[in-house]
Amino acid sequence: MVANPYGYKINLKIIFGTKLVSKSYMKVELHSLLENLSVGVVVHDSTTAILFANQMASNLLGISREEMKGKFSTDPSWKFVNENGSPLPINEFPVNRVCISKREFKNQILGIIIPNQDHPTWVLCHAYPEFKTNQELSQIVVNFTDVTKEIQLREKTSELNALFQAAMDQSQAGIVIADAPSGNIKYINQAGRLIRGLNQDLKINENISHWQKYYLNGTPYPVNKMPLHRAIYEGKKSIEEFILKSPNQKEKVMMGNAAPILKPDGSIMAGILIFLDITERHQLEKDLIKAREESENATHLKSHFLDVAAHELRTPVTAFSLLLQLTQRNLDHGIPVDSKTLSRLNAQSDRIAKLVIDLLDVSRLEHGIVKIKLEVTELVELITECMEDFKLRSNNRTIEFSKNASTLMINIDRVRIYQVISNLLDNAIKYTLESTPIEIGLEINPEKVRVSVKDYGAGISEKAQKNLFGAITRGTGEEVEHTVGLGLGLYISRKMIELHGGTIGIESKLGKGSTFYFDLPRKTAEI
Amino acid sequence: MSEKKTILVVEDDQDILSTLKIFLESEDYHTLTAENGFEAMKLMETHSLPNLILLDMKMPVMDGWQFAIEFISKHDHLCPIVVMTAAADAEQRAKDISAIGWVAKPFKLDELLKTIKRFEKQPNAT
Ligand SMILES: [Mg+2]
Repeated sequence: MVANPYGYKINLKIIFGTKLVSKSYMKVELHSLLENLSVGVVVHDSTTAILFANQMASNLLGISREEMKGKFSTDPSWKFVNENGSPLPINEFPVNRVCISKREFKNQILGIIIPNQDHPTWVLCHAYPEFKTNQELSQIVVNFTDVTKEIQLREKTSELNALFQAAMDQSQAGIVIADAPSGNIKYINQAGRLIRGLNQDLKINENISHWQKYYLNGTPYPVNKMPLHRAIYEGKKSIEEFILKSPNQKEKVMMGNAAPILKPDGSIMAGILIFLDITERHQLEKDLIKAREESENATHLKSHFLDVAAHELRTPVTAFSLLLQLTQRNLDHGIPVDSKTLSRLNAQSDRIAKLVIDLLDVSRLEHGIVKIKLEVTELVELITECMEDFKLRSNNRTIEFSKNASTLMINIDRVRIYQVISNLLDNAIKYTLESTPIEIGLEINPEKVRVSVKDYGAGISEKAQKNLFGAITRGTGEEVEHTVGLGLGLYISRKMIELHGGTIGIESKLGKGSTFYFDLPRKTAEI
Repeated sequence: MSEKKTILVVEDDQDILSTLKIFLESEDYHTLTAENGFEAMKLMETHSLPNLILLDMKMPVMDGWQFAIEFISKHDHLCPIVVMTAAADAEQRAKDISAIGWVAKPFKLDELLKTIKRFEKQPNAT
């Protein structure tokens, strides 16, 4: 025990520990030591009244030592806050904790509210009880150090951290940071998890070598060529597009930007990969390229179609021209024109006219400007009419008509359906032997009406069947030639039937003949 | 009759076929006619090779390309083939099947006759 300027005896063991100071040193230097201490020291008696405070305590508490002396811890002028900024309850004051528990209390951080100061003075407190020889509490020593700077820095850091976290989580780009040289992922942001297909709760301990990446052409990246890998192990920056397969095997196209993160000494501390899911954009680009190719192809085929159409027109024009030339020669030799030649000329000019009309139809259909005019029509009668017409034109070729009803009223474009039946009959007659019969069928079901034309010709290969009704703008040139070769009729027929909401098709086997049919829905087409 | 040169006309359009037959016969040719390549191949089984073949390209059953392949593989180039084509690139079509000449549809009968005279195989040639 030593005397002090306030006439109070301090147990120095409490403050410094006995072993640290010699008695003579304590005598001489104690006063100046206490006053120059950067730690605030306040000594309370067992009733919490202040017995002693050093200069630093006065500075930190913002109150003079004279004012402090004798003040109780319960004095309402004490204003402390805890770490989250709310007022510190009186029973949590360090001195009160010790007073109640009779035990030392360490490492409490609290803020001292000082009038006219815009922020609390933050201190780290230790409080100790001191006992009399009879174990009765004699005094409580509280010392505290100014940690305002540290707390402010900590606040700033956590604020920055929150901002950083928010920025990372708001980012549409996936961000991954992996340790060097382990390659273990130490950070991945929200977008990164989503893109990667990682569960939110999944722990980040995955190694980057587990990320399966593929070049855009589908071949896998060798692990050591992956952007993040190269950043960590080679210190290389890179921007690349690649395919990432997430654990659910969904393929995503990524644009990745990887770079090393360096320590001040230049060595590699980590690697960062910023990656953006560009699957949609990539798909869009692919679609655009495809659309452009298709349009180029369509343009090409349209011009090809014109070539083929011109080719097709040349045949009847040739026949017409040859017949005329021959007639001219005959006339030159005094041979008169016979009626047979004239009717042939007529037939060829009809053929040319039909081709021109068909070509116009195709052109209109391609531009989508053909409208059908629905009218109530008796279908059995229409088919019979068409059949009789063809019998006349084909030297009484055997054409049979089988039907499962004697009459059917249906709402169709009479002219167009006649055109379709006539196209099918025309092909059947043209491409089969005269000796073989042709069978027309009419099958009426509750949902649909099927009209079919069956022949016993050579049949059509499966490959050729696919392109039989094909649009002019689709398929290869060869297919176009084939389509036009059939007199454009099947393409026009398909379009006409589709305008009626129906479908057209073929069943055929090589060597066995073909059945062309079309189905008209009854609900919409029938009255 | 045996002095007459024979021309095989392969053409699916009946009007063209019959007109050519009448014309060629008026020019003192003997004609054989077939409506497609298949018929023409069959005809060649029972007849001696003609002095020239007038061949249409687009025909049902067996077209001009297929006929040319089969005919040449069987008879080599013993018989000149003249292509009658409506294709825009008649010359190329002729080359494709190694035909000796071509006429583009529509053509003049005089023009056809000139082409025939130019390429027909002479009876005494082998
Ligand atoms: Mg032809």
